[in-house]
Amino acid sequence: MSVRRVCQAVFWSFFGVRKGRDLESDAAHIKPVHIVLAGMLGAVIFVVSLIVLVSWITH
Amino acid sequence: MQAHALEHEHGHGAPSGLMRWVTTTNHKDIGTLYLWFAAVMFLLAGSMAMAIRAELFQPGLQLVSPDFFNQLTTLHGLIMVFGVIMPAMTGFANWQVPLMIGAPDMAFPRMNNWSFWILPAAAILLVISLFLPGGAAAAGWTLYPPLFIQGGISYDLTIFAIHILGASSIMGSLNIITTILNMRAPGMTLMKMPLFVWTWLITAFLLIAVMPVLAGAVTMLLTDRNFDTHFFNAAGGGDPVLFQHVFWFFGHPEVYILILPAFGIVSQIIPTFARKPLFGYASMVYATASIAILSFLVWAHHMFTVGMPAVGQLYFMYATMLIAVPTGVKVFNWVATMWRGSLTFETPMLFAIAFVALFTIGGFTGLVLAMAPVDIQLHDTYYVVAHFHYVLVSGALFAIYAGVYYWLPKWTGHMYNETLGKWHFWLSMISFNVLFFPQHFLGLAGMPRRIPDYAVQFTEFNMISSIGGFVFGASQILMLIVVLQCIRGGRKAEAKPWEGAQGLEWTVPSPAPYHTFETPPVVK
Repeated sequence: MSVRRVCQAVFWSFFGVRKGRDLESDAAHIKPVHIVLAGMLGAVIFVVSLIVLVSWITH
Repeated sequence: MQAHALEHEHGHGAPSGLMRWVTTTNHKDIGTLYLWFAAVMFLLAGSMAMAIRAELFQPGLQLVSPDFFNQLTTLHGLIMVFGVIMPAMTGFANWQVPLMIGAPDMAFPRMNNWSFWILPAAAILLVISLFLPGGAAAAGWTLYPPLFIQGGISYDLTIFAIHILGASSIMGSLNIITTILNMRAPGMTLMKMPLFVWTWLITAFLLIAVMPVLAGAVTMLLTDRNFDTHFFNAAGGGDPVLFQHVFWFFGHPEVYILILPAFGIVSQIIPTFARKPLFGYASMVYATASIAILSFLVWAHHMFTVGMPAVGQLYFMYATMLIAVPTGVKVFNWVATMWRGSLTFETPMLFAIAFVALFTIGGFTGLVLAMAPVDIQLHDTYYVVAHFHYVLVSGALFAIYAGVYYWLPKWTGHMYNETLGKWHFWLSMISFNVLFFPQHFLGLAGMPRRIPDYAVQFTEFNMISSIGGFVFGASQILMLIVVLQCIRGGRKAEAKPWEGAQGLEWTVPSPAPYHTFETPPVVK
């Protein structure tokens, strides 16, 4: 299990698309707790990047 | 010793009498109780909708007083959300989750009994509030202060009812999560679970996350009303807008709590009648998880008109639009599942296809409303009413109908009357659109929601809408007839009545025996 693999899985999950082959490999190699942590981190990054974007637009 | 062993032999049928239902810890019995509770509440809240549409048939005040009209809209909303859609989905979870994952029952059967049996208490509180001095709560299902703080005793009853409903939902969710995580049959890995089970697992986490938020919000209302606090009272240093933030932090995930199990049901039905595996199972799981996380990050799009800074408006506008991406992935996958499939159009499939088409319309009007400048024009108009009815009636309710027709043979052991089922579908499909589509035009023309009277230029579309409403209401009686007929008798259903159906629930006889999977099946 690598950090890169977890981040990749979470990135694709935000888009909502994942290949079946990759999903099986995710299920075999990634622990659910890592997915949850990476998902929350992903949510924080999502919110911060949107706030940065809208701040840039409004200034 | 042998006698003791026999006493605990589980190969018996259902006990008889009233106490069977009161004391039951059987997941199938409790599922049935939830579904019947939802059906009774649906008739009640549906009758309120009929009264609303009758009053709005023409301008002027005809049938009910303005205050009673507001009570009807409030109770209609509260009961439909908390007393119909949520219990119906929990009924499906009780019946189907153990059958689909090969578990003998739910993880906490006694808590399961308790989480159902506190529901009628909450329903009674809501109903008797109609007969108390001042009538029922009339501040809208969103319970906004200051209006909600000013009402009579029935407002306290409503708060208490919401506490009970929340406790029931949290207990139900704990049960569902524990069952799914701990009681799957050998070989049933997470990634082999049917999509309905996945959607309920994620929904249960959402429920546990947001029900305490709602409980906190209504408790603050309670103390503002009775104990002289001023959380939401501007005169005392509080802020009514704070309530809206807290309420919608619950309220937006709640929308997905109502719709994710519907996604799950439709994802079971479409592959069955397309005779193809679900297109993009992995994508569906990931999209569901993604929707769940994003649902916490968009709440203030319900309150663009409170006067938030441009940065806030833009953030919530963009975030809301982005949540449409995983939802769009799901719609794409359902259509791709049907593509070049060997389709047949039995009643469950008809409702599932209607779900895909009409939910998409509701989704698109949601995108329209997500645009802050447009929303400021359309806020609190009939456009919003049309939008959320497309999502919750042709979305959640049609999925419930699809699921009932799909699993009714498994539950009762009989096939339902297909002709009546199709009549029910077509009448519902046509009258639903006659009822709600014109409401988009009313909203665009500026007709506000939650009013018993309106300006004369809105008359024609209101008349059309009311006629659609009466036909839609009457059509639902057909569903009741179909279900009752099916329980009483009919053509015997096979263990797997649908040719293309896959999954463990179809490996047990129809009707499903009182106890199933005492010896866990092995999934390969």
